[in-house]
Amino acid sequence: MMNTFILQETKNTPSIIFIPSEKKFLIKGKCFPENSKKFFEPLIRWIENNPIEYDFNLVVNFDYISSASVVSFLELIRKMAKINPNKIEISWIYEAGDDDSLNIAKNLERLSGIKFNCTEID
Amino acid sequence: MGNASNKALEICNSRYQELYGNYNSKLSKKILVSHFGEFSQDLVNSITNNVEETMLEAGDKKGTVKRVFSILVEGLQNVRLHGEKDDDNKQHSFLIIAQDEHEYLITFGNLILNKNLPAIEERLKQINTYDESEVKALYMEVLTNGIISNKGGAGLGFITMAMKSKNKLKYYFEEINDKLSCFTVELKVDRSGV
Repeated sequence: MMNTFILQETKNTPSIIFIPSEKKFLIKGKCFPENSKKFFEPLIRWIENNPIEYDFNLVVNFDYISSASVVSFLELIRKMAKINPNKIEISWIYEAGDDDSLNIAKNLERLSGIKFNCTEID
Repeated sequence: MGNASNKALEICNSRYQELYGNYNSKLSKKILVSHFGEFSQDLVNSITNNVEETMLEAGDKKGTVKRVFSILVEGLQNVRLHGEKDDDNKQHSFLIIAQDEHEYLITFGNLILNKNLPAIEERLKQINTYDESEVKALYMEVLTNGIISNKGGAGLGFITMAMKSKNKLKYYFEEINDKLSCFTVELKVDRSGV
């Protein structure tokens, strides 16, 4: 059985659902942890120990992401791209009209080299 | 509480009272939130959520709500991570959110070490001389180098706050003693903005 990584949403941290057996990879919610580095560390460690060996799509829907979390999220996806030799894409879901969120996605795409597919929702 | 010998508390608190009075009486603004003391993560969560709800109920545009929310998160993160403690090991930080039909004014205050003051002042001055595209370029530069300090800061707080505010940052330092100063920064968000 494959390992999973599941974390429940709180008022200031998103839910994280990584279930490789179902090809389900999702991060959703507000993201402004006290310490973004510490928050993403367990997931980064989990990815190091559980390399995903097929092309996969990570769905990301941050209602809000703090500046420090953007840096830590960038570190996470860079790590994912480094460990996983397969194709990774990110589905970036953002609220209609939230240009700041779209700009964050564009910046992250540029800095990580990972393809971002951005989708507006109402 | 009311320890007259604590000069750090006294100066930060009088600055807080002065600003509160200024917004409330002189500028006839409504005070939406005000808090003096320490900020736990729980308090930060509840303030940010409450302000978001209040603004949506007041009919503010979603974009305006998000910008204020972001300034609050970044500013309170700054206050929590970088607010120095006095000799009694206490942070004397504050937040005031004042509002009228035209704008929101969000003011943060905290103790800083005098030795860190020049670096903070330089960053704030730099941001204030930049136009919007230059601030964005600075954001990209800091993000590209992307380092999170042990405290959990990324050096993007003031830059992000300036981007969201779309106005110049107003800041003020008041020396307490040879070690500490009280630092205040005010961000303005126009309600008519996008």
